[in-house]
Amino acid sequence: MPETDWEPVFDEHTSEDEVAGFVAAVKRSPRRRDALVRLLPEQNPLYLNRGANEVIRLRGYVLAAFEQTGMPEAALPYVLEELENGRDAYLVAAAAKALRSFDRPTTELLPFLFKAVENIKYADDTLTFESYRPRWPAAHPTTALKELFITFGCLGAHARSAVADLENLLENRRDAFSASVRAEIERAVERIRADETDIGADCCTLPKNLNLLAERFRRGRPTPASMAAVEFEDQDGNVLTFSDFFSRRPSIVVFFYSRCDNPHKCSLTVTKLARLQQAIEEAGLDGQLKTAAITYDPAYDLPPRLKAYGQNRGVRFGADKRMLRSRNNFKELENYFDSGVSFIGSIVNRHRIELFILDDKGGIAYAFTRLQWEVREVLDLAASLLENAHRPAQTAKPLKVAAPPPAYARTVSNSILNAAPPLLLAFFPKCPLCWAAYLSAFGITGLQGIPYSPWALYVLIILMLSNLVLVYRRATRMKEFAAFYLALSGTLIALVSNLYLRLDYASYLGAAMIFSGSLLSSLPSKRNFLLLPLINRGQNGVGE
Amino acid sequence: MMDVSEYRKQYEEQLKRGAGGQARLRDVLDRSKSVPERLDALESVRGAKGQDVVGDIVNLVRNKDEDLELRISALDGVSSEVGEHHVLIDVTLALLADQSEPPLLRRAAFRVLQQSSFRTILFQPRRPEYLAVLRGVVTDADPQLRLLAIETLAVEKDGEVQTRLIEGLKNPSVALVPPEKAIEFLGYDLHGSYYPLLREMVETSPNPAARREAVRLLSADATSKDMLARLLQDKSEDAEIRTISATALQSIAPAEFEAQAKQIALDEEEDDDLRAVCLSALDYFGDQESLNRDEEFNRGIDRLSSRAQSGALESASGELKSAGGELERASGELERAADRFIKRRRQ
Repeated sequence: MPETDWEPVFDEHTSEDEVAGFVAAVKRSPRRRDALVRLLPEQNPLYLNRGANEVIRLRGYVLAAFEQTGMPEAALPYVLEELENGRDAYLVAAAAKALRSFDRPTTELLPFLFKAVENIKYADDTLTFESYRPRWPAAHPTTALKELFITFGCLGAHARSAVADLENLLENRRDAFSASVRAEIERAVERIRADETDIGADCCTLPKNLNLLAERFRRGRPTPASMAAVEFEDQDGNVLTFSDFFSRRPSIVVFFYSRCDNPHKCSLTVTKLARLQQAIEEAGLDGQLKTAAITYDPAYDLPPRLKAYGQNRGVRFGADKRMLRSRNNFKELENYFDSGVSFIGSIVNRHRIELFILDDKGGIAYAFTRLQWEVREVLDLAASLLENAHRPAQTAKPLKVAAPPPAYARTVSNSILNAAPPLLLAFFPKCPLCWAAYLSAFGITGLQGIPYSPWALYVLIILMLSNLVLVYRRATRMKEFAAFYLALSGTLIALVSNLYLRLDYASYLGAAMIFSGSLLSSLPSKRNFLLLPLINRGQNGVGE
Repeated sequence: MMDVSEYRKQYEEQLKRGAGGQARLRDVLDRSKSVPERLDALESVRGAKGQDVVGDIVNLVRNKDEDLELRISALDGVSSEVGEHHVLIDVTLALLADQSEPPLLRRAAFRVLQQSSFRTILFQPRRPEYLAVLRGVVTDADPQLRLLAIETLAVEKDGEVQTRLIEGLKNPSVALVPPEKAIEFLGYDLHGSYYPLLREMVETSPNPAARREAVRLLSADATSKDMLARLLQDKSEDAEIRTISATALQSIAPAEFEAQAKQIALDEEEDDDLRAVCLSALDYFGDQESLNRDEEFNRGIDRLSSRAQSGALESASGELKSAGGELERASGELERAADRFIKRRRQ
């Protein structure tokens, strides 16, 4: 293959040797390394209709090439994904090799390496990266554990905090490692100790929210109309459409399939979904957030299998808590979520970990991909979405990843704003004589510059009625009408007492009722009125 | 349960063996003695432990000049010590890898390693070496050893072995194992790339065993649904293939299976074994509500069930002769299945 910047397009028909040839070419021209990153997403047609082992070989060979080319930051999620969740020795070893050439080494990588050691110690294998199709016995065989400990050593001073744990492995878990691996651990410790570089406290941290790769992606883009008709069948055989389920309330969606043989992926994801459901209940948000687990393997994961898989992992079922299989158009679903999954025929040959938080219209608000998600983090973001949905549309602000401000503070301030028009109405001078009375009360200096404006009365009335409409819409969504009735009564009293009866004290009563109604309506749920402080505290305390 | 006196007797014998262990070990190593004498002595030191004893036995196992039976017995005798002595793993791995050693001894080495792989946690660190040695045995001259190595690696979902198995199915001249074995081994990994090849084999292979294994494996592949349904419908197809197709179809397309199974169960011209399988599958895995609603089907099952009851009466009165052989046995099974079906619904 000529070594130009030309980037080939691979698909299911491309031979493995052709891909290996391209990787070798990039190794000789490291400036083209980004082309290797583009081979890593599961959606790449390269992986279509290949066996899982073929996919492992291809991805492993690409990852290992970063050792020569240098690893760009864009490859980091793929590398950390293998270290954190990988169960195949070849891929884990490849990820370890890639990490050595990351130009921003940091102590934050150490937990991923230790996790990989634990993951692979009973599934290690002899392997080699000498060539794409090595001949056995290989001239320079290695193992995933050896590669991991070599990487510890390569991190040098950045792995200083790992020395005690590495020595502990040598002393207390000697039998867990072969002599050659123990020798590698000893070399790593020596290498780390020999590196006296001052790395400083703040040097080279990992990008924040690494798995939150697409914060509020597609924001503003409507859910495609074709999605609304995508049909699902749930664990009990009930049929429903995307728009039936993913509407009215925000949802948390995970993807899985029951035949997944990596316990760190689908099985753990669904187990954590059950924990998330529990955390939602404990936070008093049950009934306001929906949860769904959608299978990648709808042809095999029929309702009884969905139910058994969920039940065995503690998943709760209900109208807002379902496990789903696509009935008619999984491709549409796959496109919408940009799912990191590839298939051979109908069988999954590779997938990433995926969790999505959808807004109350089914739009994707957040995506957690590849790395393990935390129950608390997901709950915080979903709750913030819920709070955002409660605000009037014209005042909604873009969401931030940072912890949301205290809900009750916003609630009170919004309610005060809502109650302002009736109060102003109550105090509004309804005739030139009243205006004169105000002038006498406050003095000419204060109000002489303000012209008498009878039209402002109608502005205040419009504002009051607008507030009433908003409270009504919120009431229909929450199916709780007490707040609306209170605000309606208050509005009527305020209008009648001001415009016809001229009873000021009744105006104040109306304003107070509008204020109370607005306040009640702004809360997440009237059930939660007393729980608000707890909810906000829980967002920082609910974890796995 | 063992009698206490028996236990005491055995324990005393064990102590005696231990006391005389050193003397008996000398007998084992004494090449002037006959092989039966040395084998007898070896039996006596079987329970003996300790670095020296194990070291002497290991030397015996490694000595190519020693009698083969003695070497194999010696290796078997120390197999339980693998967790205590790392050297035993080294020796056993070397024996398995050494193609100049007799196949019988290498098979014994394989057995020891295989047992150790799940018996002792100390084996786990040596797993990469074990798998590497097995890869070398995949093309071994000894077919039995080859088969053992291939199966072990297939269970580990080894990519290299899968590739070779698929190559062997495509081109029998390079096949390492018979096609039915190759398919069985590929089945350890359902994420493989072999489904199109299996479908082709079902259509074209002249080997019934290979076809049966292929159909069995296709039960994991939803895209094979139509083929399985067709096989089940085809009355000219081998009955066993149809039965396996029925099971496979039930797994991936229960609704389609149910529709076909109902027809087959009531079809007097169908194979009775297949009818019984279909009826049992409907009974245990079918959609009970839709089955209960299907009056025509239930009437047919009632007829079958009443035949079962009359058959039982005939049998009791001794009038039922077994002259019909297999056919009668199968018919009996079908009617019993129908009877069970009815009874479960009445419960």
